[in-house]
Amino acid sequence: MTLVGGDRELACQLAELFLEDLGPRITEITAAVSELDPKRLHAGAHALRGSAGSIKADIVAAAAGVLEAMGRASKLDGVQRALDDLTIAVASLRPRLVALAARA
Amino acid sequence: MRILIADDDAVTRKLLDATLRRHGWDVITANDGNGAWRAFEELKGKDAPALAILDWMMPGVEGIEICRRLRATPGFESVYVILLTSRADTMDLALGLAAGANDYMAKPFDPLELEARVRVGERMVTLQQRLNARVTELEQALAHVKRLQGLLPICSYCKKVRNEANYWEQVDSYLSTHSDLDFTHGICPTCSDKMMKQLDESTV
Repeated sequence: MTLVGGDRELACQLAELFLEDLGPRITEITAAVSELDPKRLHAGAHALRGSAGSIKADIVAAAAGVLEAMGRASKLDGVQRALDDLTIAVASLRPRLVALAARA
Repeated sequence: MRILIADDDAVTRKLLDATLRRHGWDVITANDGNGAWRAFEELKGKDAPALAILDWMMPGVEGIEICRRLRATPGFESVYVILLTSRADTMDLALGLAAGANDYMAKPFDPLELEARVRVGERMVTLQQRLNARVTELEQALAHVKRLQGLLPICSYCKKVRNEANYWEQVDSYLSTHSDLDFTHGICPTCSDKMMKQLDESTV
């Protein structure tokens, strides 16, 4: 709540916004991984990392960061495992954000 | 002070907007670099943002390119730019500052740090505005100052001077038009003696 200055309504709005973009972002990253496109992966993962970091979703941000680094370095060994880690992190976060957004 | 935020991430944009408005600043937002540049062009003049917080990586025109454009465009050179990005290595910092950014903040941003850095920017903007006003005042004052300078052709015999239009004129007339001098006409002791002698001779 420090992030939003105690503003609960803002917290709910942020959760909503994050969830709106989350699906398309995961789709983009998944497509980049399946096409083994490092540039696309870097851009997609960078965007998700930034957004997740903004709402202090640190585990999702870290998982996106791993994929971002792979994309930047064009080193895609183990990229599927990294994507699985991201998927797990997102699955863990999503219900909490859905619950928060529902309070808006 | 009006602040422009440009970030393609809706969450970051919302958070920045809310944080800055909470502290009383006037905020406008753009979804990408093209939107940011359009905002500057449309609001040119006294409505233009004095400070911009630009995400580095955005689709289309990146924040660092917006920064370069601002520095190269008359009227926007003094916009205070904070680059906001999760690109955090020293090379990126150097690139951002070389492009003309005044400051650089890493994502995710801390609200307290954001406020502190924007206040620094606000102080710089105020100082720059005062300096600009002072320069304008001085330029206006200078336009009214008449100054004598350079080489002035003067007749060795009658002491007339040649003016800019190539006419010979009396030195008192020239000085009156080229300075703030006024003349009060009298007679010096040498000429007075000469005149008196001439008068005596003509009387005799």
